[in-house]
Amino acid sequence: MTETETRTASRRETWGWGILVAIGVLLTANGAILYLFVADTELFRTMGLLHAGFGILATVIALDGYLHRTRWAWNASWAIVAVLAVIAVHAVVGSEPDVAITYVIYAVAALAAQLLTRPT
Amino acid sequence: MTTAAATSTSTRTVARIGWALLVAVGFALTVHGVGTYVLVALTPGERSTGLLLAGVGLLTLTAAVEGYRRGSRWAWNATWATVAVLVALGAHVLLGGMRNIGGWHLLIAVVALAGQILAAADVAPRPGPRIADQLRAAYPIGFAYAAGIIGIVGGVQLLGFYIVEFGPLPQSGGPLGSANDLTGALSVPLMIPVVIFLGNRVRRSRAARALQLITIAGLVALTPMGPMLVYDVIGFDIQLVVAVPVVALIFAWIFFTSRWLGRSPSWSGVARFGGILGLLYVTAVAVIALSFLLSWMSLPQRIVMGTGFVIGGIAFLAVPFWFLQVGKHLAADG
Repeated sequence: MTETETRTASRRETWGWGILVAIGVLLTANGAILYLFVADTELFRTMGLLHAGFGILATVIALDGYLHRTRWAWNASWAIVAVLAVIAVHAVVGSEPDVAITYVIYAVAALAAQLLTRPT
Repeated sequence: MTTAAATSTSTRTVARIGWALLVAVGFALTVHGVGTYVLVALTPGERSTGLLLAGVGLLTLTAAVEGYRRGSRWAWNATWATVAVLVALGAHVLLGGMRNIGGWHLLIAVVALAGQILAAADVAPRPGPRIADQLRAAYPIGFAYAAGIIGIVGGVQLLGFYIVEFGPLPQSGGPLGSANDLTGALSVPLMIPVVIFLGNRVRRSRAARALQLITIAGLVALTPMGPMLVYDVIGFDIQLVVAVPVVALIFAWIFFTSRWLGRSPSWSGVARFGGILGLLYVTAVAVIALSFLLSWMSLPQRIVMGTGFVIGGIAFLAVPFWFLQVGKHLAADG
């Protein structure tokens, strides 16, 4: 691989990991907002906590990928994509359009980022 | 087998037991989540909860398997999040009156914590020297650390103020807001020597010099604002008019200085962190701006605007950690 190709690949991976970090932060923020300001039942508060927890885990894993380009972070990020995709399908099937749109966007963005971060 | 080799093997064994416990926790959470979704849940909300629980379990599982195989420090960092989530979830459900579920989560939290502690026996060492060693170094390391530490104290006060003021049980924020204003009067001027020092290290272009001078002027202007607000010399609106552009300047300075410093490979960690801070700030501003396109005070607008403020808040609260990282890097540089 030439130096230019290496640099291009590195930039592509930086963008991909950056997007995955951003998705993790957004998921955490969504969960925190759901818990603190929006939820009016215990179930929704529990959902908020789990959402934030999933987001924090996703952020830490993506940060490792961003900073160290580790192979395990890339493998683990497939789990992030899978969970977001399943939640999106669940919301589509359950006829919850607002939730469905949000998670379809998350899932597509995570998949795109995952493909950008593929190890060279 | 020598004594050193035997000790190393037993340490690795202890760590592996810890990681195995964490693998078990991840597996249990995944099965619990899938079971909730498939067998127990009656409503869409309950099914979503099952999916999220399975998601937390799956990520914990992947991190724990990596830790088991290689003792990776970042896998260990990630599983701290699992412990925190389980403690928060257990406490929340327990306080909500559901003793069985809360007790179950706390029990798993204890197992996860035990796993974390055991796994720490053989986690890959942290790169770079210890913080205590670095703190002995003088200017500008001391200023970077001081700005970072006092900034974190201010951040905790600010966070406490907003949680008390706007949390689930709103009440007056009390002295936390004033304490944050006074702490800011300490942490802001401590940033100035760091801005001067790093400004002299990066390239001496006209743009870099101008940004450095404007940032210093902004920090000088912001310093007395907190005490003046506390002692009723100025109103909150005046403080806001000064603080908002100065905060934007600080993020701009951190972002560009990080980029310039990042040209040296040894500064890549600081540069990446600064880049993330800059991007988070721009994202927050964009999300908040986007929320103004939605119906005023509607639920979607509150969520979008709230998301913007949370992202901005995270970036703001992370700034002192950047200064800490600068101090750490300078100390390691000697």
